[in-house]
Amino acid sequence: MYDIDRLEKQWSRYNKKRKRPLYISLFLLTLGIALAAEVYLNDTLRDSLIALLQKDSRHQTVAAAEKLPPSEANVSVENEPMKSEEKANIPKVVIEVEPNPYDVASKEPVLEPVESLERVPEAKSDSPKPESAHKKMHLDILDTSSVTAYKDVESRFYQTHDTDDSLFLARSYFNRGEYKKAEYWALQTNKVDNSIEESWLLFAHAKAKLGQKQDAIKVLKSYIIKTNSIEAKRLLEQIK
Amino acid sequence: MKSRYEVAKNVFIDSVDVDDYIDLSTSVSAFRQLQYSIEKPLKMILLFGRPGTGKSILLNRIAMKLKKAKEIHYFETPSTNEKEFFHKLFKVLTNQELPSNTDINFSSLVNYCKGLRGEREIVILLDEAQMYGPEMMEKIRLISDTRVIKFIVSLHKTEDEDLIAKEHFQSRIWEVIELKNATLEDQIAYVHKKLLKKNLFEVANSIKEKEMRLIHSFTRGNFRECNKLFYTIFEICEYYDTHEPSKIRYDRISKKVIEMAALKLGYIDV
Repeated sequence: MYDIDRLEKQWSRYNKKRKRPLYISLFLLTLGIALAAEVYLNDTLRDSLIALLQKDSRHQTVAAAEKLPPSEANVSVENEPMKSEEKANIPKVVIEVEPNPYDVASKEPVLEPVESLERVPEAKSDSPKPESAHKKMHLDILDTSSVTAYKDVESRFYQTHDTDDSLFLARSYFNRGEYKKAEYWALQTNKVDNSIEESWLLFAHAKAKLGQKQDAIKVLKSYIIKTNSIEAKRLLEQIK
Repeated sequence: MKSRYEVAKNVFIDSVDVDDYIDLSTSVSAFRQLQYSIEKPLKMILLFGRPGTGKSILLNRIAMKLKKAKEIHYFETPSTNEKEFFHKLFKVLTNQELPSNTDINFSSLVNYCKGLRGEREIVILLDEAQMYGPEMMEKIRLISDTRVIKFIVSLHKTEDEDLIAKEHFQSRIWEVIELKNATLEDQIAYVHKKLLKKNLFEVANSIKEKEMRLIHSFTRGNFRECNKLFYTIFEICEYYDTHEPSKIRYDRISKKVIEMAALKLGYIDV
């Protein structure tokens, strides 16, 4: 009779040895799957992260844009790929980056991406003189409906007494039909500088809209006497 | 009580006993071919195959089968020298023992055979003929040329012996019968028939085809190796049956037991 115990031990060793390639194959397979999964997950995670960051970026942009006047909001939206025709409107964007101590919108971080190397030179080449650009800024802001933006301009006017700010407010409120406020800001402009025709016209026009037609006519007549302004005469005829 | 595996293992004790002969499709075919060749006017017939393919048992069976119809003699053990071989041959021819201190003259023997032509036709089965040297084989050929003695020469088929077969046999017009290793189907039939012959039906039924594939791969269809492996398998089973019955499956011979036997016999190693 054989030594069965010894034979059994021998068989156990044989069995382990035989299964070793299987275990190694399984280990390598598991390792391969794990690596593949890791690479796949990393890619997916990275894509998700990029998508998330892009989404956040868009949210911030939109949020900031909501705080801006409509024209500037449009500018931020124009961060999206634009057609060549749309790029022609870029001067607006450049105007925002003009150093202007009263321009709140230009300090908004959302406009920073607009200052890309790609766009700035193009904008500069097309941009008119700085003065006209300055005026354009206010024209843009006229379209805004953001209350915060008006508050910022108002508070800035009280600090600086810049007629550009007060005239902007008068014009904006007038365009929005808020004639009482338009009258107020036209008067504020006149108080600082009574030679600005637009403020006189806005003041008179606002008064007329508020039903104070006689006062409006009186104001216009006195201004016509003083300056012989054609615009004032035209407005006077209109009011009459 | 005697373990069933003790009986089973004894079934596979290697022997050339004609009672242990198992009819398989291939062995039946070889038997018929050999029987047919003996009837033909051939001087020598070559039976060859790898060890364990059933050459000896086939010779034994043909001797048993034809002993009443023909003058047939089976030289199971090869003679160690020429003298011993001629002594055996003398006894076959004369039915007498050669007196001691007497040698046979080969030319006289050939002439004696020639004198018997037409009177007798003797068949001599030479097993393990690779043990005879080329000189001896040449003398056997000269005796067969007398057409009185027909030799059936059984050879192991190995690389060297294949050369012998080519040089000494295939150059002449002799019949060549080759025995091949058993196929899986043959081996399954062989094992089952062997066990059923001893009424070991349950044991035979516990050897499934899957395990037989493993056994066939170890033994490569060699009947002798198959006998050895089964003997060892049943010896291990006998141990478990007697000492640790919980470790053995009675409905199926386990792969573990087969591999333990293979380790024991050196078919596989650690």
